[in-house]
Amino acid sequence: MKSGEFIEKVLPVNRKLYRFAYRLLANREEAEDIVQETFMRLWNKRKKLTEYRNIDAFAMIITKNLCIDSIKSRNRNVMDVDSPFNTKDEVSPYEKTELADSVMNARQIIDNLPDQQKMIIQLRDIEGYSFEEIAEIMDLNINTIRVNLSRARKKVRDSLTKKYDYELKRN
Amino acid sequence: MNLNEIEALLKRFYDGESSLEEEQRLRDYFNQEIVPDHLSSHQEQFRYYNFAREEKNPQSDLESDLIKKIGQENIGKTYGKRHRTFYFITGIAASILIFIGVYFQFIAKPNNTAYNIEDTYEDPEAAYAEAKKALLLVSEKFNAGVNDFNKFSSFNQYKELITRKN
Repeated sequence: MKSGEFIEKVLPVNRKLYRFAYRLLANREEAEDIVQETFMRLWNKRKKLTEYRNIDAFAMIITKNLCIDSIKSRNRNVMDVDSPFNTKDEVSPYEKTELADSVMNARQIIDNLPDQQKMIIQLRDIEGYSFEEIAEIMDLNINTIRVNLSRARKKVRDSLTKKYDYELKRN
Repeated sequence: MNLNEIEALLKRFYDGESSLEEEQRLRDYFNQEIVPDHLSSHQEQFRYYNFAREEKNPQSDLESDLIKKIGQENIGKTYGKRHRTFYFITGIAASILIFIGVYFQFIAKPNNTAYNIEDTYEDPEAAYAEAKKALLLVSEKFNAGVNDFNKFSSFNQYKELITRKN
């Protein structure tokens, strides 16, 4: 695969990869580093890339694994240093648009889901991958994915309902 | 879209049984319409999904960074080839230098010292005197040897006298 073809066929996935990494790591710089690393690996494999059925899913697998490694080493470091340092970014002013404000609750709830449910929601409800693709990326069977997706969606619904009820009672 | 249909879709959605098309219909519904009160707690979830799909890093342009890097990788490859010939040529040059060095250090050195004449006197007058002394000694001994030949010359004189008389 030459660079022109690479830019045309592989590069567009970078946004999905970035959103996925940012969802998991909650740190922009780290998410960008991981996307760059993913692309370096894809570029090094460009000769074999055409053999893959689904380059998107393959790229997503690399990013997912890099993110999981990063989370693991982050947890180790936190334990080593024994200090509660927080690598999560604050929401930047750019993101504080009116629209973002109106969906901030949903965002926070999803960010607080367990990693696996977070990933499945990200892949399905935000990026719109099929169950087959998600199964390939997550290395889980489709049924497990449906179950976890259902749990995650219900959690988001229930948390939002609680918030709405609470606000109604206060007003 | 009627309410019953939406509620049925919502149930399938929360059970993880909805298709991608059905999920798209839910997102469209909650994005555009003002929804009945009992559905408003679902609305935020779907509106967030629509919002998050368009999200990108607002602070830096990752995509152009990546294109730049892909470009650099290409240049890197041609540089690689040039480097290889560069290493090849410097390798040859270095081995020639080493050969020359070894030749002068170990092979050519004995010859050099054999012809190397060193000065033993620092004062030229003393050197001259010493050389004169040595040459005088040689000429003295030489003359002592040559004196004996004088006997041969007188022998030749008498021999000529005899041959003339005959």
